[in-house]
Amino acid sequence: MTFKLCVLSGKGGVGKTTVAAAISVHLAEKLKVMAVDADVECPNLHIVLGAGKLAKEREVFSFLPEINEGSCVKCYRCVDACRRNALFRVEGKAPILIEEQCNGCGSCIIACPAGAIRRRKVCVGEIKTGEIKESLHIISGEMKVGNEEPTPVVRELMNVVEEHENDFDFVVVDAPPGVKCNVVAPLETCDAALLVMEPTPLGIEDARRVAELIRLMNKRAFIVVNRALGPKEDLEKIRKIFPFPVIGVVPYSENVVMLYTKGRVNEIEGINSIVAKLDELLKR
Amino acid sequence: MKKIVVASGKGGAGKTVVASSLSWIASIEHNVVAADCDVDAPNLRLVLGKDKDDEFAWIEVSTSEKAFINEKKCIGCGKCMDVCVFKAIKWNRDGGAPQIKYIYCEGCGACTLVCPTEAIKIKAVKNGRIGWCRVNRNLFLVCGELYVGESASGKIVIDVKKKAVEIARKVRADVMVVDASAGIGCPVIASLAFMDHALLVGEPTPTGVSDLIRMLELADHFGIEKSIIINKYNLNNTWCNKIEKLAREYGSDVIAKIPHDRKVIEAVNHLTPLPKYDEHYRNLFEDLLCVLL
Repeated sequence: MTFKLCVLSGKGGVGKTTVAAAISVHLAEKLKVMAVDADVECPNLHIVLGAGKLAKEREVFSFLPEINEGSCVKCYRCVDACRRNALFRVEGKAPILIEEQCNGCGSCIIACPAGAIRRRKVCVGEIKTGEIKESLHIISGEMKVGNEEPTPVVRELMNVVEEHENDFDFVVVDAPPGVKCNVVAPLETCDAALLVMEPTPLGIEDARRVAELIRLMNKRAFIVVNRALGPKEDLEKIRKIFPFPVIGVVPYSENVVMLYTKGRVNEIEGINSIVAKLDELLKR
Repeated sequence: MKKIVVASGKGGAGKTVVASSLSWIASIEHNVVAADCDVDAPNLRLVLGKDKDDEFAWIEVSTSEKAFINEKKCIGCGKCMDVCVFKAIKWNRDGGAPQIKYIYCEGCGACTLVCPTEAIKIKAVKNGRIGWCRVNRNLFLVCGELYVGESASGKIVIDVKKKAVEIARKVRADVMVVDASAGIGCPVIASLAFMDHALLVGEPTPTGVSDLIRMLELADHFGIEKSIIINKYNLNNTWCNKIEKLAREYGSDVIAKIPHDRKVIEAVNHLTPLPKYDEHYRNLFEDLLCVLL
């Protein structure tokens, strides 16, 4: 069975992508690994993995309504049905769609008695793939700039992952920061979560919110503490607050930044033991 | 009133450090309203030293709706499940009523339109809260918080900004500083709306630059005036130069640079705005403010 691990954090910039890339490279020494970039608003995993230019696998479409002026009977039931106020009533004419407000739910199509509304494909992003080496592939989602909703791209990305996962032993998903729908979608399809946090007041506060999301979704989880500056009390505090085991501590070091800008993240201190711990936990 | 939004695309680039420092330095001579619009990870209040809930006045907000099924009325036809494009309805066809998966439901109401027995109702849910307080004599803070797993963060951002404008009118504020969330999606777009200027925080790393480009594109897409502040500029000279070049390409300017300095981390960990924590940074942010106002 392919094991799917979702790397996430509440706060941005705490090292999700670095950790996801590093463990992917490590795991790929023995296993066939798929690294997945689900941070579709700002996808970076391919950069950290040094994957070069990725190839387009498919486009992602949302379905927005298109009203046929000729068949529209001007009853405006669609306007009443739309809870996002995306349809604008113009007396004597077909309603006007405000695209930015529409989430493609299709309520207007159901409400229309004349069958005057059909679905129109709109490209909202792309799924790209690449091969770093035979045992390490990457799949990345990218939302088009100017779009509001990342979730359709994330969902399609996770569909692509499911289509291909049987060819791999391990899937590592790099999730976006935060606690909303675009994080829910990748976490939902994964077997466990790896929560990356900084041992700082801000880091702990944001991680606490993600821990709550993990609990709501009833997932297994492990913690990696990144940029540990020193005091042991911080780690003790983390162990006390969070109900998940701490399986790794990456110390703060200028060297990490250097390795990161050079694409050698697998050499970061502490990654080895995280991978070993993951291995151990998964066997059990 | 000058309305400035601090954004970056990439998380952890230093938005909150910049927003807190700018608000604090501005509050020495002006009335200022700071608004935390990173409702996913609201941290501005922490850096401004307001970590305790009881220092704020709070209101809960309902900017999201969800579907609820009345099992007694449900006849188990499954039409609601077929029509839901968000796959938010789970139903075992062998028996029982369908179940709404709360966090997937967008509250669009398509299911209510096809239900033959009117068993489904759409109800507003409380999806977050907004709090406000006075940080010092001249500085007021509004912050928004999305409840975990809820949706419609962009609408909470709009409510936070409405409250910020209301307070700004009352106290006759000259400056408003908005701290946006990471990314370039819905809540960030809502944060940019109606602002005079976007201050984009760039990090001189390959990923920082990649995200900054997407942020610059977004600012252009909405036609908002923008400038760049480089954080941790001494990390990497090559990438710093790339940011300077990008600025020119996008008709923008690099107007300030913050070094990669342990003092910055210390200030945040002491929950103190940087120029208040270290005198050294006062000039930097005073100059930045001059350029912006």
